[in-house]
Amino acid sequence: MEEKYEEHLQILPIADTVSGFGARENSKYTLEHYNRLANQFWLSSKVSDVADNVLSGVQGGHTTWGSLSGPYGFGKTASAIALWGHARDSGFLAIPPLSCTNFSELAIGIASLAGVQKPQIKRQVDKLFRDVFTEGLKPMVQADAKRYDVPSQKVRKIYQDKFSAGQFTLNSHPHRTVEFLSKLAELAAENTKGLIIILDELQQLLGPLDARAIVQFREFVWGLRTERSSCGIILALDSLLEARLARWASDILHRIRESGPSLQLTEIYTRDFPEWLWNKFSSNGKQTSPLPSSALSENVLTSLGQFVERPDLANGPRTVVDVFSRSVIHYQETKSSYDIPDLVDDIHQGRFRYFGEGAVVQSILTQILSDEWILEDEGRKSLVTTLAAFPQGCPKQILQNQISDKTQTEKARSELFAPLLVELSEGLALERLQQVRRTHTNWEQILSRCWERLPSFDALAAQTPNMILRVLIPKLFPKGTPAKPIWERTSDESNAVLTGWYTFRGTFNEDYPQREIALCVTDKEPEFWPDDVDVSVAFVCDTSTVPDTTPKSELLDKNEGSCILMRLPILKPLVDRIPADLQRYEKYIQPEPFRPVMILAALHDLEAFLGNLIGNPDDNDTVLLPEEQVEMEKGKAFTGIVIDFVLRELLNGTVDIETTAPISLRGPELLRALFTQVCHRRFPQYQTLTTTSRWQEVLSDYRKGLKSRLTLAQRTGQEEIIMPKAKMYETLFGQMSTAAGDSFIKKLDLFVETKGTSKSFSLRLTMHPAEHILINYFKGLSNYQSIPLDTAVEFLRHQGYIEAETREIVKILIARECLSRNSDGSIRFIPNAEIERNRLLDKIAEMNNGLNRSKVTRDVISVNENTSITELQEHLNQLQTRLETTVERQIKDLEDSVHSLQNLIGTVTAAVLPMEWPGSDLSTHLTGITTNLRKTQGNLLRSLHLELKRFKEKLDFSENSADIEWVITQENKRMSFSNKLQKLQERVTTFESRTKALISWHMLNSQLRSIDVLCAKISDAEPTLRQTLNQLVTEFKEKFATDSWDPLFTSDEFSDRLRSVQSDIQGLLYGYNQVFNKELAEIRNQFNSLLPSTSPPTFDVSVADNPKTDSIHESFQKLYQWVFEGFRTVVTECQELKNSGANWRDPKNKRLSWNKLVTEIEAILLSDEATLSFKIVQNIGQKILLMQRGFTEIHFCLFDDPNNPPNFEELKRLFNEGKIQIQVTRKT
Amino acid sequence: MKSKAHVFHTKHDFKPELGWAAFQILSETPLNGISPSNLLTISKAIGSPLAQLSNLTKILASMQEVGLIEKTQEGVALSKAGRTLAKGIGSYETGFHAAVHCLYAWKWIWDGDHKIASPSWSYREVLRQILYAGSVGIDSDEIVLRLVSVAEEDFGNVKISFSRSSVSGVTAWLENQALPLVKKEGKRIHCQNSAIPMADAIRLHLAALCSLGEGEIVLDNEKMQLLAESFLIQTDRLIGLLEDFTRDTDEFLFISSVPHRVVFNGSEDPFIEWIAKETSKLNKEVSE
Repeated sequence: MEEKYEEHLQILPIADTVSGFGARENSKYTLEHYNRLANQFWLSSKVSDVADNVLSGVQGGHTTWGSLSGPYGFGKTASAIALWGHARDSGFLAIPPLSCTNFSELAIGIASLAGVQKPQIKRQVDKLFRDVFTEGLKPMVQADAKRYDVPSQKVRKIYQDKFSAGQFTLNSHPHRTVEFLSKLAELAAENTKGLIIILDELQQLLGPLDARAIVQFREFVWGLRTERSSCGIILALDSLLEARLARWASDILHRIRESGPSLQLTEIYTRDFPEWLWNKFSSNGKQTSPLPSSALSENVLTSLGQFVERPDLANGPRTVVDVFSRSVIHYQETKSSYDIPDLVDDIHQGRFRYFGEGAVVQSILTQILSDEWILEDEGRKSLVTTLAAFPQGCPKQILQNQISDKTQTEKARSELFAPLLVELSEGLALERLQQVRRTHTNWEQILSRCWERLPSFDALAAQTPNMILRVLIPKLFPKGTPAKPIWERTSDESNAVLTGWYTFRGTFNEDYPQREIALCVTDKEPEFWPDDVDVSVAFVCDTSTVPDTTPKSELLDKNEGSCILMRLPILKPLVDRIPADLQRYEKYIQPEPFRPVMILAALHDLEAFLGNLIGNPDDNDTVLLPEEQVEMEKGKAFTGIVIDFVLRELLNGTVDIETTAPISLRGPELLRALFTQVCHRRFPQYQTLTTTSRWQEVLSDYRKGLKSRLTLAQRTGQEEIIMPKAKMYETLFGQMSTAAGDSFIKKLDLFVETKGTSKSFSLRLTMHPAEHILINYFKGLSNYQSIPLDTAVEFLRHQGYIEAETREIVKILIARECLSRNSDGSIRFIPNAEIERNRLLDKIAEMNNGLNRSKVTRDVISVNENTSITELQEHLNQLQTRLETTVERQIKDLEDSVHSLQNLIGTVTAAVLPMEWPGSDLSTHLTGITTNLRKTQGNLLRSLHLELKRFKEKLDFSENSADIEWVITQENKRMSFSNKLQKLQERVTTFESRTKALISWHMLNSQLRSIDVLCAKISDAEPTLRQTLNQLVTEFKEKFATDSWDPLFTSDEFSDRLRSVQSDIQGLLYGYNQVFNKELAEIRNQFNSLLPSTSPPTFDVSVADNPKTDSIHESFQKLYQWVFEGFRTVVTECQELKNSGANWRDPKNKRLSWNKLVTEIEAILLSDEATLSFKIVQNIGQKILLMQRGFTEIHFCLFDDPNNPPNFEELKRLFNEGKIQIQVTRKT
Repeated sequence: MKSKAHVFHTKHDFKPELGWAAFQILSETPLNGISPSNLLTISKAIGSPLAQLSNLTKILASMQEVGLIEKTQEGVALSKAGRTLAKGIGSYETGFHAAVHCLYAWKWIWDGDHKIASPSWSYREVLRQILYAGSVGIDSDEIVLRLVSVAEEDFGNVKISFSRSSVSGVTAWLENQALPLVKKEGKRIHCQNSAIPMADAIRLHLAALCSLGEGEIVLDNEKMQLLAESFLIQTDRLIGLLEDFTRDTDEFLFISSVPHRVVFNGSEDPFIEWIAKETSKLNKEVSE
C-alpha cells in the first residue's frame, strides 16, 4: 500500500528545467525527465487553445509566436512542459523548455533534443548545426591564425572546445540561432508536422536587461519573423520581465503578439482551479493509480480557491500543489481526509514552501495564537484558526462544520468582532488578513512599478536624453503664463531630428530679454554648434557610475564664446541630501542607491500620469473625488520636489566672477549665471531698454518731452535744462505730481541725469548707449546715406538689442533731430541741424511751387523759426507723398488708356466681314458696302495703333522720370488725351454696329435668292407672288443706290416682308402637294392592276433653292406619264392575247367591238403628253379596264371533275404571270 | 542696557525667490562674511534676481530675523543655522522654502523671550488666524485687526506696526511651499484643509517640536496645536499623519501611548539635527 502512494509523493510544486548544455550531455535522460513531468501535468483549456493556435499556424507554414505570462508561482514552466507534451503528441518535433544563458546554448540544446527525439534526422540535424555554428567560425579562425601566426587547426580546436563548453559567445549568435532554427524547421516539416520550440526562463536567456540583451533579443524575434519558416515559438514570460520589456523594448512584445496568441496565466488560476486540479488528480488518467477524492476535504479546496485569488498571501497554483502534496502525505500517514485544521496547522508550523512572500498568514497566525486571552478559550481559538484559512470570508456552512457548538461560536464571535474580525460578503474573516490598510495611490504605484521594471543602466541611459527633454527642460525653460510668457519654443521636432538642436526664445535674466537659445540634449558632445543664435546650451549625459563623478559646466570659446556645455552625471549614485519625500521610496530600489537616471525614469512616468490629469481639469473623464484630488496634488508636489532636487544634482559648476573667487552654483541658477556670462561676453555694451513692463509707454512720454520747446543741445543731452522740478516735470513729461515725476524719472534710467533740489533742479536728456552706437554706425556710412529701418534693426541686434528696442531708439533719435525718416520709411542721419533745416525749407518751397503749378494743391505750410526739423521733414514727406499719389493716379490713367486702346484694337481686329455675297438682286449693293467697310477697318486700326504707341511711350517715360515737371505736363495734356480716346472709341462703336448690320444682311441675301427661285417655279400657277417679290427688291435697291449706311440698318424690315412672301409660297405649295397625293391615291384605287411596278414620282417642288427641281405642272405630268406607262403595257398584252386567238367581248355592252375600243385607247395614248390631265387618265383607264375584263370573262371555267383534272402546270405558269385568277371553294 | 524693541512687521520684500537667491550666494561666501554691495555685484554677475533690487538691506534684515544670517565685520554671513541648512535640506529650493517656513513659525517659541514680539510671533499668529478662520477663509484686513488685538493682549500698549503688506510677507511663504498651505480667492485667504504635508515639512516641524523637549516630546494639546498651526490642518488629523510618517523614517519614533509621544532619534540632515538639538539651547540661553 505504501508503495502505491509513493507516486503521489512525486507531486512537485516546481518543475525543473534542464540547461542546454545538460541536454547535450545527456539527451536521453533529459527527454525522460520532461516526459515524466509532462505525465503529471494537465493542460487547461485556455492554454490548450493557445497551443492549438500556434500548432495550426506552423502547419500553415508560418512562423508563429505564442506567449504565456504570469507572476512567479503561476505555473509557467509546468504549462510550458505540458504544452511541449501536447505538441509532441500532436505529431510535431517539439523542444521542451530549456534553461539557457545565451542563444548558443539554446541552439546546442535544441540540436541535441531534436536528434534524440527523431533519430532518423539526427545526422542531418548535427550537420546543420555544424554548418551554421562551427563552420561559421571559419573566417574568424583564419583571421586569428594569421594574426597570431598559429596553425588554423589549433585555433579552430580552441574555438570549438570553448564553444562546446559555453565559454565562447558572439554577438552574431542570435542571427546564427535564427538561421539554424529556420533550417531545422524545414527539416522538421519534411519529417513531422513542424517544429515547436518552448522558451522558458527568458530572463536567464537575456541576462540583465541591458542594451546588448535587448538588441540580441530584437534580432532573434525580428529574424524569425523575416525567415518565414514553419517554426512555432512559445514564450513563457515572467510578468515582471514582460512589464520591463513593455516599458523599454515594447516593439519586441508588439511583434511577438502580432504573430500569435498570448495568454495571462492569472486568468486561468481562479478560485475554481484547486477543485479542477484535484478532480484531475484524484481521477487521474495518467500513469498513477487514482487517489481517493476524500483524501482532501472540500473545505480545503474552497480555502485554496480563496488563497489563489490573493497573490499577497499565497503563490497561486504553486501553493495549491504544495498543499496537495502535503495532503497526500497526510492521507498516507493517517488514512484520514486532510481538512481545515490540518491546513491551518501546517501553515502555522511553516510546512509549506510556497505560501506567499513573507509568509504573511503564518506570521498572523503566530501573533494571534500567542495571545493568551485567545488561547484560554477553545471557542476563540477554533474560530480564529478556522478563519485563518478563509481570507475572503468563511462560508457559514463550513464554519458550522468546523465548530459544531453554535453557542460557543457566537460567543467567540461577539468577543472578537471589530478588533479581530470583519464581516465580508462571503462570511466572517480575520481583519488582519484583509488588504493592507494604507492603499497606494495611483502615482505611488506608478513609482513602484517604474523602479521594479528598470532595465540595465546602458538601456536606461540611451533613453535619458528623451526623458530630460520631457521632464527637465519644461522646468528649465518654463512657458510662463499668457499674460507673462517666459520661454517659447521656436523650432519644431523636425528641426531637432535633422540638427539635434531645439531653439527657444526667452530669457533667464531680464537684463537680456528675448534671447534666442539653441538647446540639445545628447549622450556625447555635439560636433556642430549653431552660430545663428545668442546662446547655445548642450546637456551631455555622462554615463560614468563612479560615485565621485561631479557634474561639469563650462563656457566654450566657440561662436564668440556663446556655447555652454553642461555634463550631467546621470548614473552617479545619490546618497546625500535626498529629500525625505523621495527617500521613503528607496525601498523600491534597494540595495541600489538612487541615481539621477532612475529618478528621471520615475519622473517621466509620473509626468505622463499627473500631466494628463492636471493638464485637463475640464475633462469629464478625469473628474476626481476630493481625496483623489488631494493625492494628485501631493503627487504634483512630490514631482516638484524631486525635479528641484535632481536638477541641482545634475547641473553643477562654478562661475568665474572677476571681482571675487569663483562661485559654485547648481541647478537652474547655474544655467542662469552661465547664460548671463555669455550675454555679458557677447553684448558687452548692451543696456536693455525693457526695464519695466510698460517701457514703451514710458519712452513715448519721453519723446513727447524731446519735442517740447528745447534747443538742439538740450534735446541731444549736451546741455542741461534748468527749471524748478515741478515745472520741469509738467512741461516736459506732463507729470502733475512731483512724486509721480520722480518715479517716472527713475524708470527712464539711462535716458536722464538729474541734479539739484526741487527749486534749483537741472535735468539732462542723455543719450542711451544704443543711440550712440547707431549714430556712430551712420557716421561710418559714405555720404550719410539713408538705410532701411531693417538694416538698423539687424545692426543693433548684433549689439544685443531686440527689434522693439531698436524701433524705440530710432524714434527717440528722430525726436532728438539726429535722424530723419524719409517718406519711404528709410532713415537718414542729420549731420548738421541748420544745414538740414535750410535744405528742407528749400525742398518744401520747390515742392510747393511744383504742386501749385500742377494744380494738385494750393496748401502752403507756415514755417517759422520754431518749426522743428522733424516737423519740416514730416511736411516735406507729406508733400512728397502727395506728389507720389498724383504720379500714381496719372500713371493709372495712362495704364487705363492703354488698356482701353488694346481692347479697341482687339474689337476692330476681331470683326469679320463677309468675303462674298451669293448672287441676288441686292448682292451687288452689299458687295460695295462691304468693300467700304473693309477700308474703314484698316484706317481705324492704323489710328488705334498709332495712339497706343504714343500712350505707351508716355508710360515708359513715367517709370523713371516721373517728377513734378512730368506731372505738370501730364496734367495739361490730360483733356486732350481723353478727347482723342473718346473719339476713337466712338469710331470703333460705329464700325462695330455697321459690321453687325452688314452681317445680318448676309443671311437675308441667301434667303432672297432662294425665294426668287421658288417664285420662278410657281409663277405659271401663281404669278402675283413673283410681282410682290419684285416690288420688295426694287424698293430696297433704290434705298441702297441713294444711301450706303442707313439702309443697312433696315434689315429687319426687309426680313419681315421677305418672310411674308415666303409664307405665301409655302402655303401654295402645300395645297398642290395635297392635290397630287389625292390624285395618286385615286389612281391606285381605280387602276391598281394597270399601274407599273416602279415607284410613282413625288411632288418635288419643295426644295426652293434648287433650280433643277420641277415646277408644279411638271410634277403632275410626271405622275400621269407614269400611269400611262402602265396603261400601255396592259394594252400591248391585251393585243397580244387577242392576236393569239383569245376571245374578247364587251362585258357591259356587247355592241362595242374590240377594234373600236383599241382605236379609242390608242388615240388617247398616242396624243401629246403635255396635255394630260387627271380626267384623261381616268377616262383611258376605264377603257383599258374594259378591254382587260373582256378577256377575263371568256376564260372563266370550273374544274370539279376529279377524273378530268386541268393542266396544272399551265395554270401555274399563267397564275405566275398574273394572267389568270384562281378561285378555290369547298365542294358541296 | 537698551531693551529690545517689539518688531511685528513681516517684510513682504523677503520673497521666497529672492530669499533663495540670496541664500545661495551667501552659502558660497567665506565665513567672515561679505558686504551687501559685493553681494549685489555678484548677483549682477550671475544674473540673480537680487540684481533687480537697488539695495539688499530689507531682505538681509529679514534673513537675520529668521536666524539664517548674522552680521560680521565684513558685512553678513550665514549663521550656524544657515550653514547647516545649506548642507542639508536647503540645498534645493523647495527644501529652503520649507525650512524658512519652519524657522519663521518656530523662532519666537525657540527664543523663549515671550515678552518681546518678533516677526516670528506675527508669522505664527497669522498662521493661527488662518487656521481658526476655517473653510470660510479670512481677508488680510481681518488678520491685521485680529493680530493687533492679540498683540495688545500679549504685549500691552505698544506700537504695533503690522499691515496688509505684512500679511503678504507671510502668505508669500505659505503659497510657495511644495504643497501650498493657503490659496487666495479674491481677497480671502483659505487654508488648504485637504492638504497632507510633505515629508520634509513634517520632519522639520516635528524636529522643531522635539527641540522644545530636548529631543522627546509629549503630544499634549498645546504641542498638537503648535504642529497643527504649522501645517494649517486640524489637530484631529495629526496622529494618523505622524503614525504614517514615522513608520517610514528612522529619524523619529512615534510612541503610541496616552498621550502619544515622539522621540527624535537623530538625523543625517544637519539642519534637522540643528533644529532638534541646538534650538533648545537658544531657549535655554535666553531663559538663563
